[in-house]
Amino acid sequence: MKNYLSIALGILTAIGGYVDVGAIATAGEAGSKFGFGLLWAMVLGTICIIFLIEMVGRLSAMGDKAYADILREKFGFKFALLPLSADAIATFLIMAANIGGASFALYLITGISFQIWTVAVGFALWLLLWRGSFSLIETGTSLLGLVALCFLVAAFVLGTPWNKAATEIVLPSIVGRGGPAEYFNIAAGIFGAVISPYLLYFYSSGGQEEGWTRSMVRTNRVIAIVGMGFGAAAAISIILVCAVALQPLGIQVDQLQTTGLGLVAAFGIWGVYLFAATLFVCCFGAAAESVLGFSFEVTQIMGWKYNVNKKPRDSAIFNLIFSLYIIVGILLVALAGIDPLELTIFATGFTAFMLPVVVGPFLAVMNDPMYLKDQTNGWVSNIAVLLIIMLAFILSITSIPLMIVGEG
Amino acid sequence: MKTRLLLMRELVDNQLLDSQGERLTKVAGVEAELREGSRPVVRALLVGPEPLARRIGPRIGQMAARIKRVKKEIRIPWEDIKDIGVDIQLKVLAYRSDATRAEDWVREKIICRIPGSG
Repeated sequence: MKNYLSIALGILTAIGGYVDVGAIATAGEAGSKFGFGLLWAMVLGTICIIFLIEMVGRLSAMGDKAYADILREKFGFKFALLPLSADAIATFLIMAANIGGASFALYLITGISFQIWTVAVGFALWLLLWRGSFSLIETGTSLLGLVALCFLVAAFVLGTPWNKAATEIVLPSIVGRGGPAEYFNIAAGIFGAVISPYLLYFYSSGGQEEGWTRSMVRTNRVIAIVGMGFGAAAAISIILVCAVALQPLGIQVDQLQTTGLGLVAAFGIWGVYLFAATLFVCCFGAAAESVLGFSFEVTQIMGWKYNVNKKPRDSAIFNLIFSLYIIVGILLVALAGIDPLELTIFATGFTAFMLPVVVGPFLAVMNDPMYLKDQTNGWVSNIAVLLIIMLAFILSITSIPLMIVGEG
Repeated sequence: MKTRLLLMRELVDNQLLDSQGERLTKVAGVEAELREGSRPVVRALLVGPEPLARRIGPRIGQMAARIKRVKKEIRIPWEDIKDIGVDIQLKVLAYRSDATRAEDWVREKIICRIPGSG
């Protein structure tokens, strides 16, 4: 029974972290502009995050510590400041973008300005983290998040040419409604959206909160593959749906709701509600995970108390961090009225830029028997880590120039 | 308890726990006594903003030293240490160790004043 609950943790992590406003926006852009031409980025990104999640979960089970704790203990305070400061910015952007996304979903249904909804969504988010338990956050979002699979159903309803899609994963066509710079800019955005650092902090801390031990190593592997596979199925379907429904009509995703038109093509007016529900649940879950992930990271690097289940007074700084972040996030989106899509594109680009700092330490940590005992990386995982680090460096160097050229 | 330790691997940056296993903070530095003719001896573990700032660089350390009114460096005498494993466990409870000032301050001044905190 406990293992099933843990698999629920994986699925939540996948929904909240994988299918978030970043994935929805970049997948929608990719499908509507380049058809099946960017499916490979989503598939490759998924393989990367499966490896990373498996490793960070194994580390949590064997080392009896979360990833950020080990970052400080193994690499020292000065090094830990690097991922800490990068994540301080990235988390804020991602959380604000997701609060914006969830509010935008409510605007689509009600017609009331999304800036007003931001306050309600932000307060509900804060209340959930302030009073709710880890399992409430986890099971609630994972059950509701199943709605994201409506994109998969839509892909079937719309008659996706599966053979062509499968071929283009291996042999993509770069030709589409946009230049090569835009193509690679969206590809970098997809990687930045899929390989989310906060996912790693959240997942390894979740393992600690649930008291994982050696017996979880195998279950953890299942969670990584099933959970991330679930998220990938939903995200890949968004590309398919937009490619089939929007690209032939020349509709490009330049606003969040345009992605929903694909669902309207499949389900009629119900498509609107399904899209709004997917957007709301996934964004709300991702906002919760990202800001918790950062609270975990800070308190673990500093060695302070962290706990979602206990009362706020029992882990004061932990609660203060996410409270402050949510307040400032609300102010940014509600008062400054920043467009959630633009914020999202910026957040995914920034994440791609900072990836090396987050994935680099994996190579050393995952081969240290002090934490992993007999479960250190085998050669498959080590080659995977090396390739992921290389990919991260390529993304980091190219992301900023691509953002400038690709957007302009 | 071990008498010979690797300073950077087994002491500095490692987790401090109180006598009940409660997380306090991580070790920021150590205080060693140099003695003529024999090996230096570690007298205490240091935590707090000043030793931490010194780790970043001497200039940031000086800046931290200029901050007024806050206790910037907390010294945990070697005699208070119960056990050193992956983590360092103390013989005393959290509130006696003085190492949880930040957590205590945030709890008393901010968190407890918000409804639903207790």
